[in-house]
Amino acid sequence: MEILGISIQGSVKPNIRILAVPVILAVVLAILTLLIGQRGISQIASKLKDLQEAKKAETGLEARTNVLQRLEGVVLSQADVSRIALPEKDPSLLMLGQVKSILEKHNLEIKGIRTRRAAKLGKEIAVGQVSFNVSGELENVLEFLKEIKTFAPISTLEGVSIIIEGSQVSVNTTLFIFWSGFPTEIPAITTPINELSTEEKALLEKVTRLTKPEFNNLNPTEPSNRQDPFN
Amino acid sequence: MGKINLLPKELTPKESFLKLASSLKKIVLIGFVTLIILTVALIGGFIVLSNQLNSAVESQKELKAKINAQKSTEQRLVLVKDRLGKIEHVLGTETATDEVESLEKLIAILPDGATLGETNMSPLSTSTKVFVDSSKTLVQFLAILLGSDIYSKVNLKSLTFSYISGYGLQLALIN
Repeated sequence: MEILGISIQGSVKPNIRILAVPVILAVVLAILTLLIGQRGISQIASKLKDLQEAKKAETGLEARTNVLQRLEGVVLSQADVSRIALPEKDPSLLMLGQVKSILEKHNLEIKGIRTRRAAKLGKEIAVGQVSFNVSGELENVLEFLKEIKTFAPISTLEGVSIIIEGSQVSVNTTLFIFWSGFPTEIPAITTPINELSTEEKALLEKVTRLTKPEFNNLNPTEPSNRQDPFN
Repeated sequence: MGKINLLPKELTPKESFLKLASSLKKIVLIGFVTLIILTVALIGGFIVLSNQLNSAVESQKELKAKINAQKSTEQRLVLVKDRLGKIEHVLGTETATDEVESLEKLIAILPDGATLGETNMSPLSTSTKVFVDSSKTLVQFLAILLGSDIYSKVNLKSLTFSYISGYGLQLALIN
């Protein structure tokens, strides 16, 4: 019998002895190569994957920090403008204040005022209805109605009913006003954060141009003795 | 002095086996050396990657601390985006402002002898009454109104006549 042209019949023992050590070493080498190769490569692959993820997260965080650093100086005023345009709570009083100031500007007289809740707009935007009666000259009334859209908080003109009485007109106006609770959660730190888009910037610009309500600060005064206790 | 082999011929391995064993030994030696180099390379790579990972994690920690320090800016940005999204939604709803502007244009084109009566405006439609003193003015007014592009649709709901106020037109106007 011959294997690879070598006759092993009759001389098995010395031939095997001479081959035994290198064969055993070869087997050990193969096993070690298999173990080290498999384990080592899987460890390296796992580390590489972790590193890639860490680098990706780092890039995201870096971008987030850069965005926040860029916006630090401007976002405060933007937040103020946007929350005046769409407040957190019912802006009926703010709206009435605004309406009154514009009516005074146009020499118009306000009569009845009524406010009530209306159906929500979507899930998150609450809607209120402000109705009032105004009398004055038609030209001034129309100017007033056109000006409503230029002041904050934002509102929409729901209905206008004009009754003409000689040179004067009486106008019943219904406005819808809106408010919505502030967001309660900020996105997870690993999610990317974007600056305002071009559309958002354009809208913000529009909102910035709205006439804001005037807030009066009442300064505290020290208590004093009244000379006349009944006055 | 030449080598003397005292082993009987039967106990001496064949020359071919000797050559094979020698070749195998060389291959195993090269294999071990390669394995050692590979192991060192793997350990080195593992250490380098671990260091890089650690520094990336450290950098992440620093960035997270920075972001936490800028939390108020982030909250404001989230607020601005939230408000703008909702404002856009509100501004997309219907409003009667366009109807007011159209009514102003209608008043501007009223000929002498025509006056505006009771008017109701709601988003997208206007219902108004116009009084005219003569049939000539009536024709003139309708010609001007229909010739203008103030309203896309003009519906004459009713036309009345009285000796006191003249002709009365009830119009339904759509922008």
